[in-house]
Amino acid sequence: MTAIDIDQSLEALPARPGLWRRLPRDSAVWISGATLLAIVLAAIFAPLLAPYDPYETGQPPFIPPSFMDGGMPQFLLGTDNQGRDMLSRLLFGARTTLITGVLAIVFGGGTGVVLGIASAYFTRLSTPIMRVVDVMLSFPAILFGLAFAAVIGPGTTAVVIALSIAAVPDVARITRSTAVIIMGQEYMEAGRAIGLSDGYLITRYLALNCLGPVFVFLTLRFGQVILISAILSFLGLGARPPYAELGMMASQGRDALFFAPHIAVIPSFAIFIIVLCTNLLGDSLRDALDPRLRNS
Amino acid sequence: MGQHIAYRLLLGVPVLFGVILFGFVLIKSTPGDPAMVIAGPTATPDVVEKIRVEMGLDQPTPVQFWRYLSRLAQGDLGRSMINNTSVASELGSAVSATIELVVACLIFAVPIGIALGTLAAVHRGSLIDRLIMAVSVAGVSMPVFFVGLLLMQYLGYKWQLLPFLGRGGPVWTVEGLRHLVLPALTLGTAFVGPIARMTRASVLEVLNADFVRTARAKGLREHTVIIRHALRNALIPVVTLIGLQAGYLLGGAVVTESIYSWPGVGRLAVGAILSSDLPLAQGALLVLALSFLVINMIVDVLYTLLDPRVQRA
Repeated sequence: MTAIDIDQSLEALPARPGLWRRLPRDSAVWISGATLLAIVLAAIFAPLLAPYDPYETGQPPFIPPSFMDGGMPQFLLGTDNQGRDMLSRLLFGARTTLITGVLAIVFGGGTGVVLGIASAYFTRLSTPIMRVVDVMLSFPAILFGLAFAAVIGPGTTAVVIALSIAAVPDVARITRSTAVIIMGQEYMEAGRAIGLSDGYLITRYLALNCLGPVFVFLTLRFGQVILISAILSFLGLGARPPYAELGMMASQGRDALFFAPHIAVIPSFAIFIIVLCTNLLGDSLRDALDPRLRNS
Repeated sequence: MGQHIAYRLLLGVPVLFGVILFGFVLIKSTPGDPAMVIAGPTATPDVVEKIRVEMGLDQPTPVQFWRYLSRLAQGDLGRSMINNTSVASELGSAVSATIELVVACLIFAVPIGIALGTLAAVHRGSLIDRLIMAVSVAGVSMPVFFVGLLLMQYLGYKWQLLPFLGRGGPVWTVEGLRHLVLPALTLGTAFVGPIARMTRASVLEVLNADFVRTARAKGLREHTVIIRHALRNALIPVVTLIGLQAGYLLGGAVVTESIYSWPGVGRLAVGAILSSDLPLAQGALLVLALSFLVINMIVDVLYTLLDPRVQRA
């Protein structure tokens, strides 16, 4: 592959690629999207799908999955160290993990979008908002997680707050840079000329046009949020027992790692699959929306 | 450019203040009366009052904050509530353990990541490229504890190749080195993916540059073009981007330390938070936040110096 080939491949792209026309070519989108959809549906309908109560401890503990030696057919993924059905816990655990991630993305992403648009539209607000964002950007999400667990005590609330705050600065920056470009478009000028109010211009003209790149970014970010929330739960700073959560389940399985590895491996693998699918989906969406971003 | 550096340095001031204020609030938010906790359940009211005056708890909050600041300036971070040891001395040994772990991880992850990234970029679109990128996406998506638990289960327990609990002594001894391998490998595995991705993107960009075309036109061998011309230029952003990933590394280090009982700052912080030992938690979080701040600043300045194209965003 030479430099000239790369130039040509970039030029060969259509000037304005239609997202839906380009996506079907990418099999990764469909595989990861379908897997993710299946996981989300399984999590939503966990109470209907789960064969047992995820908190009921009556069954024999440490039973390996049914396809392994010593497994029992009635426990497809075995039981954990307290005799709870792994499959049921996995479904409910995925539910908790996904909800945590979605809440953090909605709160953090929402705040970030508002800040980004406000700083682009009201130029006077730009400097103070971006200063605050720069300060927030100085710390990684994990540190926010530790800090909030220290202040308000470990728990899902601390994780959601920390991850929301950690998501704000990046989203605000992305939104602002998109919004600044849109502010320079002629239709914004036209809207202003016909006397539209600020509120109307922002909601109907500016915000709607910013959503594409922001959505892609949030998809990419969702994987990281899930990963960090799982890490915090694994450390004991997130969901409290007996509440099922994937990271916490992996942490509980650590005690039985050497004789019943499935208790730690199954939830860890579930997290891996969720994050992998989100990352693949986000990468493909980004490439489809803007091939030039691929190298950034 | 000078303006950019000055901005970054100035930005550090409010952040630093915020971090210290946070530490103070954390100490203040200790549930119950700290003087009573320290005096113990059998102490008389006189003794409790004496301790309260000694600790300055009878003073108004701004005065207390000022005292906190001056104690901090002298390196006094208070005492642990659980075992009454000095927080500063606990942190001292923990910091060196964490640095040891992070350096060992970088020594192994950076060369591998850069090599894989370059290989993928040079063979762009080929099977090798797809394979390397698939592996690195998988690496980025893998929870650090998953890697850690797998390595522990197989290399540590089943095949008995390496120890997996705690630190084995100074790193220059055989035992110390053996104990370091699994934690460093765990943290490094999580870090190879991002480095490979960044290197690939950076090399691809450089391969498009005019000077690479010139080098090829001169008739240089492909090997020389890639290593001497492309990679050397591509590494400038990569080196600094590695620094910007310090947050990612920090998250990984906290988990790795917890899994392997590695006596570092991350494990100390988590243990202190879980046992509500707020003075110790405050100290550990301060150290983590400050070191992160300093790394960020150094990287930022370095980035600007190495690549003048970087301007204020």
